[in-house]
Amino acid sequence: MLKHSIKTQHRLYLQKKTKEKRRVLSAQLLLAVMFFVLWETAARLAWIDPLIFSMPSQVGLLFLEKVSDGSLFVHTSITLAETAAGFLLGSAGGALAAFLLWWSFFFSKVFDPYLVILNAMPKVALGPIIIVMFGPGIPSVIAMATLLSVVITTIVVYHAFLQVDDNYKKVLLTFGATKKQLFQYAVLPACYPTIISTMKVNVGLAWVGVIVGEFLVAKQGLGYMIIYGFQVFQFRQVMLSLIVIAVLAAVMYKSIEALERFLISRRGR
Amino acid sequence: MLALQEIEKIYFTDEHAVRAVTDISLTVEDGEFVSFIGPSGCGKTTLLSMIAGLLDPTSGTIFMNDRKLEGYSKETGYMLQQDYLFPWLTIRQNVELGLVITGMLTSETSSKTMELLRQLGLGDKADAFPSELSGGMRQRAALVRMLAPEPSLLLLDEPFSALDYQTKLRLEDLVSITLKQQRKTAVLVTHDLSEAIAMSDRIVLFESNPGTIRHTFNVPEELRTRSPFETRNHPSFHSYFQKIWEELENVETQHQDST
Repeated sequence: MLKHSIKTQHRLYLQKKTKEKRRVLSAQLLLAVMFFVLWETAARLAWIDPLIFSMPSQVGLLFLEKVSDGSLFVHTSITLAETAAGFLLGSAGGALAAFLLWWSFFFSKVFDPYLVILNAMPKVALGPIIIVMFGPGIPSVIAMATLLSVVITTIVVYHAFLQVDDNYKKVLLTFGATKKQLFQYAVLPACYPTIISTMKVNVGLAWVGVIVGEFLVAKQGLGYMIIYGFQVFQFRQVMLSLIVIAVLAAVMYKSIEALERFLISRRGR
Repeated sequence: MLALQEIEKIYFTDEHAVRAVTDISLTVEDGEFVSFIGPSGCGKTTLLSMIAGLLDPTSGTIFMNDRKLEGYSKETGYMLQQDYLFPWLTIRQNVELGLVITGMLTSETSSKTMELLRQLGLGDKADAFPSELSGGMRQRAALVRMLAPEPSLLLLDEPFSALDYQTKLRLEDLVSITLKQQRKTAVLVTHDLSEAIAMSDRIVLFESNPGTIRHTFNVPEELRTRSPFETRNHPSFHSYFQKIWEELENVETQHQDST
């Protein structure tokens, strides 16, 4: 009797949870639909200037047009490739630099003030230098995206390395571990969560770097589409690019989250 | 046999140099269980770290089986106050860590370690993560981790202090029996006098400022031969406890007077 009622209660609990989930999801969808409907209506009734803000139906038409002539695909894939390259170079380069700083105490002492300066420096200000160094093209865009994330990654990951509980290292040292083993078995795995969360931040930074880079030099890419649309007053193209960027950035962020779940699946603290 | 000869350790900071331990000479026979007790700051953990090769003495020499001990030795195993199992590794991976680090991991040493894990009642936990185990289980796993590379000298740095009383009593018995079976030599650092009496053959009392040996007590035969739990219930346990307790009090009041 009692067992039965517990089962029933569990079922009710699950039903309640599913209902809750559905409510949230439908509210989210409603919000999105309302946003687009409101945008369309406002533009059609000229509450907002349709020339500047365009409207979803126009953006949709442009989307179909750009898809069918293949140009959207070209721009998107170039921007994606640049972002991925900048993200990977920034994250890997930062992690590598953090490793070198951890390895050599002397090295870290020497570089400390330079890291502070580099971190405080607004990287975008280096734009002209980068263009002169890498030429007006894709390499400059990637360099910008890398530069934006590499220094902060170095600092955050290095500090995470330093904050690993000494007792984990002590455990290994009591077995006569070498410095390389300390890093491989204690320091690095203990810092996976920090490295992953730094990567999440880097996705955003890489997008900023790529779009700014494309503003400055590119002849192709979503950032170029934005700046070109702006110059010729084609704001539906600007809006289209923004929507594509929002979707892609969200997808990249979500895939890092999936990687996180995979790496840190069963360990609990 | 472990022999310490006139060990001294000085810690340096920007403000001053502190003499942590000084003039420590001591031998521990094979198969003997020795406890270090004393007020906090008497350098007992420092001394243990030096024997483990984690710290170098400022002067003096440590001999292990008549060979001078420099840095890490395969002969020593170390157990910390808390288990410090790596949360990202399974219990199996955790207990084999010492074998991996020392390059001793073979199918033979691995199955031996798994056998020990089973003996200590953790056979079914090999693939679990540390977060899924209770405090006592985790400390037992840490014991297996220490024993896996088969050290002959075990250094125990208050390994029971973070456990609840019941678990602590059980684990004391388990450790004592396991070490006796495997004929290990052990040095236990503790601030718990009854634990020291229950487990040891000999108790070394330290005083602080600077840390040095005040007195050595040989635990009477009738308390030595029994398991820790039985020792605690033995009629002569209490009077022996009182005897050392007074000496410990003397050390601590003297310490307070001097500061």
